[in-house]
Amino acid sequence: MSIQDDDTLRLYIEESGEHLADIENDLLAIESAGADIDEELVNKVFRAAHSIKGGAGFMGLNNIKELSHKMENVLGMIREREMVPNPEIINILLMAADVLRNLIINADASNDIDISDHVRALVSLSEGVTSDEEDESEVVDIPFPNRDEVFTISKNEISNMRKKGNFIYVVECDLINDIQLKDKTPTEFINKIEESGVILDCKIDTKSVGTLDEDLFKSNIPFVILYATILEPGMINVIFDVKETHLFVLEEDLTVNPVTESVSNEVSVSEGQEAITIEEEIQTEREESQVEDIHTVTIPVQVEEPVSDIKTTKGPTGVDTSLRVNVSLLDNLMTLAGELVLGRNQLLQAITQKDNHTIEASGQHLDLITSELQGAIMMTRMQPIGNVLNKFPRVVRDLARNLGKEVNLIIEGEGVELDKTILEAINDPLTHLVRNSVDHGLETPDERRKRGKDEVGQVFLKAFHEAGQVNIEISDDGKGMDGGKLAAAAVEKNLLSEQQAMAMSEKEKVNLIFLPGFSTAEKVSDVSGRGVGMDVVKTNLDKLGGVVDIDSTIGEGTTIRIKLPLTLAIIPSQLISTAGERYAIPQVNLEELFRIPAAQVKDRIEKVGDAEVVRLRGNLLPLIRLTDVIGLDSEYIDPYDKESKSDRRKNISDRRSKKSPLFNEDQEPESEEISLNDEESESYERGPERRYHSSSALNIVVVYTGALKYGLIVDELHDSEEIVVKPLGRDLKYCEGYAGATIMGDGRVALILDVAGLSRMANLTSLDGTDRAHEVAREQQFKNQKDVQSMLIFRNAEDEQFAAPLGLVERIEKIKRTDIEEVGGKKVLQYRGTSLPLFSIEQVANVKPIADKEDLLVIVFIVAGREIGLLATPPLDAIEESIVIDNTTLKQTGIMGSAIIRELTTLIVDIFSLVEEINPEWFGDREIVKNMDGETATILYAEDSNFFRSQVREYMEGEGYNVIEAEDGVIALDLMKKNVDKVTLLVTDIEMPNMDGFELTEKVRKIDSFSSIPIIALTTMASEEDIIRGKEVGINDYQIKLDKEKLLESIYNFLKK
Amino acid sequence: MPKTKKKPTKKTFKPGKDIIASMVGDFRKKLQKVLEQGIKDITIDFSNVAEVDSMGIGVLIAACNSLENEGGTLKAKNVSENIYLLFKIMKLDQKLVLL
Repeated sequence: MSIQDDDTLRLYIEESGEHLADIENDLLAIESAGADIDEELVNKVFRAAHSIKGGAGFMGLNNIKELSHKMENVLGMIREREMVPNPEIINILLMAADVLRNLIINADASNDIDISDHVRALVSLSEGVTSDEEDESEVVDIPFPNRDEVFTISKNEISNMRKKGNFIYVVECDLINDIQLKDKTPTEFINKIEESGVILDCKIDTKSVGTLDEDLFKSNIPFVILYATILEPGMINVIFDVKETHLFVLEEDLTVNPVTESVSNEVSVSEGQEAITIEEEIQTEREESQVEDIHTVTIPVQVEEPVSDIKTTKGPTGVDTSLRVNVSLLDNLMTLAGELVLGRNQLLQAITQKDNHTIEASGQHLDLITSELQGAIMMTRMQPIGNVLNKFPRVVRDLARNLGKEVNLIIEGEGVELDKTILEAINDPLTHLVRNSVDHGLETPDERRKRGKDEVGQVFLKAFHEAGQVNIEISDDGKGMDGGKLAAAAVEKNLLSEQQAMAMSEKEKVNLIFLPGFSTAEKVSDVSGRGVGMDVVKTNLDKLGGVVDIDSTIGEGTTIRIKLPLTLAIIPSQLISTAGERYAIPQVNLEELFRIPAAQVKDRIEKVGDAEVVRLRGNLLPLIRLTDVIGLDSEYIDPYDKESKSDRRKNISDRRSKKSPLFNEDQEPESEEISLNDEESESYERGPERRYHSSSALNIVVVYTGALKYGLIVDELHDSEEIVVKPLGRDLKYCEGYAGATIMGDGRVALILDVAGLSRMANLTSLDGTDRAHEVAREQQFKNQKDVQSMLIFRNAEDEQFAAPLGLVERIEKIKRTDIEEVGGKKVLQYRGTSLPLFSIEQVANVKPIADKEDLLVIVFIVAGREIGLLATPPLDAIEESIVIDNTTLKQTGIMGSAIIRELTTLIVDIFSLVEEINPEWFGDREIVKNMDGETATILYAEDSNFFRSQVREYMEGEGYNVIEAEDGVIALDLMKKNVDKVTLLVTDIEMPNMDGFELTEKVRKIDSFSSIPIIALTTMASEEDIIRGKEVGINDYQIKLDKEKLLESIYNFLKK
Repeated sequence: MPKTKKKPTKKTFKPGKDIIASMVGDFRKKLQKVLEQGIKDITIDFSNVAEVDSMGIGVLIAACNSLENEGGTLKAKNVSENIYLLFKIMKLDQKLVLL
């Protein structure tokens, strides 16, 4: 009897499949209800078993009938409350349901499958007898496939491995073909496989090696390994990298079946050998995936007794080649199809009549229908993620039971829809991650109790839509991962250097577990126990265009986030072109686009080691030039003749600038060799075509692949477009840099770039350049913390630049040289009815005299209560930058120090000492305020900038006060507390690291003895809000930094009170 | 390649370098020659051997097989810890006599 021939049978199978679909979760619900049974639920399962039994009897499927009958008996007893459904009972029922499903799928072979173990188990349940214990010392022989040797291993060992969630494989690899010829050594190979699992036994088939007389290079050295790992069959070959036909799974019934065995192969019926795991089914059926399948997956269950087969298989015709589609969706499709027909008729008619207008109109119409049709058909491919997620309660339950843990699994967002292909492909990685969470993430109940957590661990599985992508989160409230230990382990394994590890953020460290070859089950278990096959999970998700990321807090748990595209068939993408070829970059990988103008290229691109990087908002972004990676010649479009020419620059930042001597003569030398000082001397020719214009600007696509973000330099950026993904042909399969191809609107082909592949090809790792990145981040932080100085820059002599604090400037006047009057040996300017005394810097400081120009500037300051004018020459500019002031090298009277501003050494004018030098009589001596005991007053001065600290300190000490310095608010507060009886006044900066001036004031005011101490805030520029806020927290006065007179005046006034 | 003893029934080889593909050809010929002389007790001194690759393992197994056919044994001495572990894992310690 064949299924195809018999409609009745097929109907029965489909119907039974539906009955069985819910049985698993219902049984689990019954289990959790315990003695307090939900009769309705038990009845439902009972009825399902009953219907299956009824049909089977009619069809003559005796095994199915018998098994369902026995299940029905047990369920009947539960319903009658003669039996309390404990985990053991449910376990047996679950296994029976698994077998039943298998029997039904292979209905025509079902009568030959041995089900006696299950029947016995069920019968013993209903008779109140539990099954016999397995003989612990029993050994089994596991045959080598295709060879006449066997492994002898104790059943106990195998079942122990299975209890830990391992799959057991028999792998045959060839020392010559799989190891030697792949440039591996046996030691490396063994280390690698031991990282991801346990070698239970292994043997070299020495017989087939032959003797010395045979040619070794042609012979094989078969090495057969019995291997236990938690990697699913779909992922196993990532480790071994052998021929798929040499991978075998050891089934629960101890038969050995090829991992690759496809369902379409004939199903052999003897001894239940048809066991095929779902993983490769998914692969083989991906092409013809109009199937809605009930996802059932190989779950290593503790085997209490030999179980003939608990796997699910699909019959050759596939029971679930049918797909459930919402009727309204079908209606919609029908309507669209109707429209399509109408459109076609219209078009045909218009063509016959050569009616161009109608042709255009119907063309548009067809365009519209096509997009709608495409959307609707895509919808039919969308499947709720629940199809995958709903199997996890069982997985988690079984695993938790085996591990002696209590786990509560919470699933959210089953309704989120994903393309079927993706849904199938995430099955393995998700299973892996969930099992990892339960196995390694969660602690045992004992540990949990000790840490004060609920004994029942929580695992959350959450799916949701966000930004056109599907997000899946797997989180647990387990012990979390210790980034530090992971980093240490990685260093030990030489996966990264100690410096790199030190420079990494906690998050980066946690994400280390995705590094290939990172960790092993045993060795890392004391660290965190994760990492087995995590790189494999990542590789699989990468293939789907997904992104995975981990967050972990020690002691609180771990969250793994996966982002997946909704569908693989049509993806939004960014089109770019380089070297005249167009490429598409999937939008999922795209972070941003940016362009570095030619003028900034040299400043923004740095070299760290061999890598070229760009500064982007305080982070370093590694750069890859697309042409380099894919091996094309760089080209650029000449801005003048619009022709594309080959680009010979070696470094990204190379360019020919207008400053270059090459352009001084206003002509371009033909092709002479010139080595410029500011560029590394390079031996290649610098022809006239090298660019210096807008074409030198860099177009950078910032792409993101999970842990790694980098910039891809391309020639041109185009539109973003939805592209239809076409797989690459077999010949191009090994091109790592491409994810596929697409056909553009104009009929040309564009390759889709695989950004992860490109980064691999460029040997880019996220760890590279981290030291420097750290440095830059620090610099950025430093910059943010530092005061921004407002300075007025001007010249005196034409080639000397000066600066003065902008806060001190009253105003600036333009005058003619002739306006200056020399009276009584002093220069004055008639100004608003008074005489404004004029000074120039060279009167005091040893600088070049003021330029002999007709037009001069007078910068008006107020010093010692009078207005004075400082003569200066243009150019004049105000800047607001954080500048580093050197107050030693160029210091002299009238000059407080120097700084590099706008790439020029700039002298900073000390206006007070300048005026004091010339007119000492203006500065009357103030009496120094002393305290009750006749001591000089002590001022605490908090300021983070060295320059200002020493400068202002000088002012105050010059006046005779004692000054205590503090570099930030925290230190200041500390010093205040230590010197409670000494400090009589506080002068503080506002912007300081660790604790700012406001906070410092607040805290100081809370100290009893300081509740009324005068506090003066110093700023470069006090804004209204700052003043208001300052008043609120208790700042008495604001003074502008470096306004010596006013500050001292203010100090004097406060102290006098 | 230094050879230590020259007795009619016993022979010790001391490759003094890694037993890897590049030297396996010569090594095999030397072993073959010795076997042709009817020597059945061959010892390989692993001093200064840091690595044995697949080809190396192949030649060792082949030598074992050849010797077994003649009723002899292949022995190995001064095996470094790494190589010892490798042999142990691969169950080659059942084939070779590790001294």
